[in-house]
Amino acid sequence: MRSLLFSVLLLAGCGGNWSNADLAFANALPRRDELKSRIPAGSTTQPLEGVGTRRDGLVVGDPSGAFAATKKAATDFNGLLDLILGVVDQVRAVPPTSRTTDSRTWGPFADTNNPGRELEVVIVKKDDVNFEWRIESRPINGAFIQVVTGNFLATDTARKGRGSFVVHVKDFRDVVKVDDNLKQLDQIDVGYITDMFPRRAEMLFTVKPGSSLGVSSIGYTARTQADGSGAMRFVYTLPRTDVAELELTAVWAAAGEGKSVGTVTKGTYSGFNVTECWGKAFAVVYYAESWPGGVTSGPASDCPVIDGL
Amino acid sequence: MRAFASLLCLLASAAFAQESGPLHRFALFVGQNEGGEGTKPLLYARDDAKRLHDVFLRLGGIKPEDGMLLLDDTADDVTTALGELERRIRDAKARGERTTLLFYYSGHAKDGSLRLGATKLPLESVKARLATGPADMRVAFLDACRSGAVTRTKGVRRAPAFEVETDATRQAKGLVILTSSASDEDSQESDLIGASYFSYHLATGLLGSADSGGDGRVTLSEAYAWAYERTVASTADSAAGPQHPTFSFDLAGNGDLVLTDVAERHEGLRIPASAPTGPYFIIDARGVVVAEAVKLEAERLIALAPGAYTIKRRLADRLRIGAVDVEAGQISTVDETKFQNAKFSDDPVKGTGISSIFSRHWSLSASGQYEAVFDRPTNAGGYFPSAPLLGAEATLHNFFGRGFALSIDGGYGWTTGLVSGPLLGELTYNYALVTFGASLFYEWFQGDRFIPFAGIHLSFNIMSREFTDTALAKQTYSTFTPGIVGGLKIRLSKNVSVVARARVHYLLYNVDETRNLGSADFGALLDYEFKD
Repeated sequence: MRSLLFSVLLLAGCGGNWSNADLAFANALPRRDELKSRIPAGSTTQPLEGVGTRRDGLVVGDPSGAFAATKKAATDFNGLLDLILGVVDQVRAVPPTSRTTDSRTWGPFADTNNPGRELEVVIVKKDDVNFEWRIESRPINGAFIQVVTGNFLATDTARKGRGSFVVHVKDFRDVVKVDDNLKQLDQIDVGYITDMFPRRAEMLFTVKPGSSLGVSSIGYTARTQADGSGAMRFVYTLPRTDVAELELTAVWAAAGEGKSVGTVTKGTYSGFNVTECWGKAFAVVYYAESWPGGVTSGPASDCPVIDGL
Repeated sequence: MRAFASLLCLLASAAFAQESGPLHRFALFVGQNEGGEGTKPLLYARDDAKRLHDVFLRLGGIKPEDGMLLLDDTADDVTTALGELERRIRDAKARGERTTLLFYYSGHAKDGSLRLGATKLPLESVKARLATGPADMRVAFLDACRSGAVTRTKGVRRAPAFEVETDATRQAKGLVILTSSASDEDSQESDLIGASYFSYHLATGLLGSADSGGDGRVTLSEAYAWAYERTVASTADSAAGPQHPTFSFDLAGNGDLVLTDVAERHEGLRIPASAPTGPYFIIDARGVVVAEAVKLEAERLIALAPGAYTIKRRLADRLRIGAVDVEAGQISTVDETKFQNAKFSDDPVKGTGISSIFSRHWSLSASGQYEAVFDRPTNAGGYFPSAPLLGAEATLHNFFGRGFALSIDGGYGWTTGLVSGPLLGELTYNYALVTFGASLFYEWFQGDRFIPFAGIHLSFNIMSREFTDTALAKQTYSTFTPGIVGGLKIRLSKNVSVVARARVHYLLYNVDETRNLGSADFGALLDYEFKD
């Protein structure tokens, strides 16, 4: 009896979330900071034009429209990451609610954005290096639907590796609050590599048929080197015949100078492209349109050479 | 009682009427806390002997070279000292001096012997030696359990037996033995007064409190009467029951023996005849009652060492408090009209300074320590890092009884740590440890400079780590950690000590897995004890 009392006293005071294993689980979740596109800040006076405005041509010394377009794409890319991974970051910052040998569960928590619903995050360790995770939503005491499902292969440490996840927009867009842009989507697929340089993150937005966005899908690929240089590629699939697919690839150095090539990859104008280079002041140093009669300004040798991306 | 006094007169009248040489006093004071096998160490026997030695040398007409003090000595040492004093007494008698030998003993007595450490001195041999000794007057004070056994064969009384012959003209000769308790009683010590009851009251009586005659001198009969009354009263409600001092005598002559002469010392305080009658308590700067006086119609003299004193009178509804400074070689007069009224709650008496060693009192400590966790390194699968701690403690000494102390403590520790593993990489963190604990331990030899202690400790630890990678959740763990504590306190002064301490704790970890861990901390404390 006395030893029982002692044990009860001892256990009553014990507790907490001091866990080395939790760290491995938490590190298996993707991080916004590691997947973000990091483009130089640039000037606030840059016109934020899209690729469709590149009709009249530019001359050396003009503010770089390609840089502005790249920056906008990067901002959009990062914003989408924030939207998707915001929940994940919040979960990582708190201890799990329950543990098993091979899993950690956070929640269910009340979903403050959707009264009457709950959110839960589950990470399952499949083997020594493979993790699967999911974010689920349900009405209180109801059945869960999957919001995000992901997997991660730890090739270096749990924090470094290769992973992917899918945002099942189609499954939840009608039962939880989402913004108008998200309502236009069916699914978001994300893949990333963080265990080597360049670090790489890819996003593919599958647009709901008949959406008002004017595109069928949008793809982003962002790469970042250790020295701060980076690249971004984005592809628009358009429901038109002349320009059915447009691809724009931009690379930049850590100091800011960069180069972009916009190419029509599908459609009547397939093969046409525009090359634009900008300097550290984000002004055009070279501009060339490939179609007959297209504008050319500045020497091509002024374009920066950025390797490895 | 009058018959007893008359008998003294008759026996002494012829034989000692002609003796009138100078008086030369010798004394041996023996204090021994240890009583050997089958006894528990006493706490105040040494202090009793020192106190009586001081009183008799100041007021009893004993020269320092004639008053021997033996502390913690053996039976052989006592016998040797007695032999030396007897030699000096014979020399004094050869010079025509009248001689008195005072023998005082405070310590254990068991099975018919005084117990001096591991050695024994039979009571009967002491009595026989005193009975046949060369001194004209031999007076023995035996403050020991069942010391009344030595007086059992002759003249045992359980009440004050002397009546003072104030007009006596002939000097008493013979043997008087005063004991602190009867043959079937224990002699008791008190932590409150820091002494044995008998010796304490005997000493305060000799300062003048016992001077019922009001002549400034305390006689043997006055001292005994005072000590008897106070001892019985003090022990009446004790767990061991009332303690009755006894005496025996083998006397010739009708004069009472003056033990202390307060008036001749001329250093102390006077309670004038005009002061209200009743008891007066004289309290020293420590808050200790060093003397009591029952003021009757005549003035009273109390011998006191120079210093500042508080005088207290206790009336039915209030206290009367006054202050007196006693200067060297001066008699200060108490002016009761200048006393202030005070509530009973403002009683200036705090207890004896001597007993404070064993009294219940607080101490505060500041500590610095290092806690080592019995675990794998944190970069090899371990959970908790070792860390330095700063802390504070409050301890209540002698809480459950003499020697037992209860303390509460708190501490804060910090360090940086690194956790690493196959799926973790290297994660650095800032570690913090907050502890709240309580100890129950026993302190040995509190009166000495070196005080070892040992006991148990229960701590509640709250550990936390915040990673430099701020994306990761802060982790905490709290647990009770039972353990043991031991160390050594080294007293630098009466109130200040340094302490070297070690504690070992059990530490249960049960999040990722159940692990039985442990920790040890080694520390140094600076300790201040709140005692007079």
